[in-house]
Amino acid sequence: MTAADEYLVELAATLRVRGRAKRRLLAECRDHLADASAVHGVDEAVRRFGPVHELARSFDTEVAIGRARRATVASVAGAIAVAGSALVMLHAAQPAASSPLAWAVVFFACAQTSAVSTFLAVLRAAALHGCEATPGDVALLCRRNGMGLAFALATLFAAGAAVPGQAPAWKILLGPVVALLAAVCVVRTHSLARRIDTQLPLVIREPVTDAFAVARRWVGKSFPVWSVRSGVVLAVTVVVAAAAAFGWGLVDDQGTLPSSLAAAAIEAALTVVGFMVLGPVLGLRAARHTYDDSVTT
Amino acid sequence: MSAAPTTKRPTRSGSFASCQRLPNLPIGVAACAARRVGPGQGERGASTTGAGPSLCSVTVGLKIPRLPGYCVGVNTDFLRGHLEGLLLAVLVDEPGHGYALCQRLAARSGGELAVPEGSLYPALQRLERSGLVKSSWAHADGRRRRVYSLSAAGRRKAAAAAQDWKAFSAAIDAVLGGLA
Repeated sequence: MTAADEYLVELAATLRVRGRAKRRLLAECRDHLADASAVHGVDEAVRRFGPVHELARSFDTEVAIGRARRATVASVAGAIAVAGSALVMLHAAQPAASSPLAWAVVFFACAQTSAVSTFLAVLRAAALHGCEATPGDVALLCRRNGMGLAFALATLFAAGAAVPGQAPAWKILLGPVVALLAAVCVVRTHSLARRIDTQLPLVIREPVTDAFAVARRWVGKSFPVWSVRSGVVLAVTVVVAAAAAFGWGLVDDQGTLPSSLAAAAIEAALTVVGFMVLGPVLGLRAARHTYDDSVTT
Repeated sequence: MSAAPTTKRPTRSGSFASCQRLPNLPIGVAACAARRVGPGQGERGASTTGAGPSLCSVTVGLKIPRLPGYCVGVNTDFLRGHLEGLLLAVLVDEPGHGYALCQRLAARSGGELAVPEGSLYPALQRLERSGLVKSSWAHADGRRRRVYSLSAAGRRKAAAAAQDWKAFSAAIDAVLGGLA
């Protein structure tokens, strides 16, 4: 067995991806080493090709990023499908039914969390277009997708609990089926990221920065990119969410000023709690117990 | 390639982040000059050049590892942010498979640019993922090879990368030129 064959065997064993992508890379590397060996000799060709672990890690990460972006598309489809099923359930509710306050709060909280998580995932996936990234970025994208799908399913459950009714089964089940298929894609991608890097350090990616980076790609290189502290983003989000809840309450036929103020207060409180609890998972802020060197920004 | 924002990151003490207008820099660009090294030192395949201390590497999200104590010549660190642009440039003339692209890169640079040849394949994968490059199996040199070619978006990106480099190198020359 020549040095090139040993290199390819080691590369095949080190690569974490499986299937067509792996076969293609190995075929290309074999051809490359054959050409280089004819010119420089086998040992020199292997030396010039570079370390196995670096090539394997880089290639695995590239494949993982592609899968994560496709999983994001699937997650968006899943979240939309579940939202459709939830709407079907709400419209199928008994006319005189009124939902208990607790289930109504759970419904709106889960729906908004799902929407925000999915939006953050889409933003990150767009920001990753054409960019080099780390397994931590892949894992972050998977977590955002997973949160979006999980809270979408919770929204559907809360809708059924809040206003029971009857609707065609296939319409209600379509959403969860699509969401579960998307979840499989997300889990497989996260599993690949963990195989690439067993440590998977926490990654923080500011959504405002991602948004500006994506806009810059479309508008042009003169477009500035801002980095805004997460506390500022949270404050703005709380104000906007509370104002929206207050306005929605006033617009509602049965809404009164006290109920609108209560809705605004609940919305603000849930936004803050959601940020504090889910912020580390969604890559918005570092958890209190993490150290600097375990967090990548 | 997307540009790297050169924004300040908030520190744990909570310093306020600032907005900066970005120069036209390719991602991961490290304005590194080679460290002065002694004989026998240096990365394999790297050309050792003596120069002053390296300048700051300003990127976001990507930690470009600094090679401790090595000569960081016109090679790995410096090329890391430019590899995609270089691949697009060598694909402008005609399509080619991985080894052919590697040979073109070496020939056009006069042997000065020496990257681990295997690193071309993840970079080509990234370009393909971005839609800048297309690939297909074809018969070349009597064998079935994966041949890469530029897409229309890739041609535009190659031209833009060349413009970005001109602006960047002019800016670096303005700063480093006085040291030569």
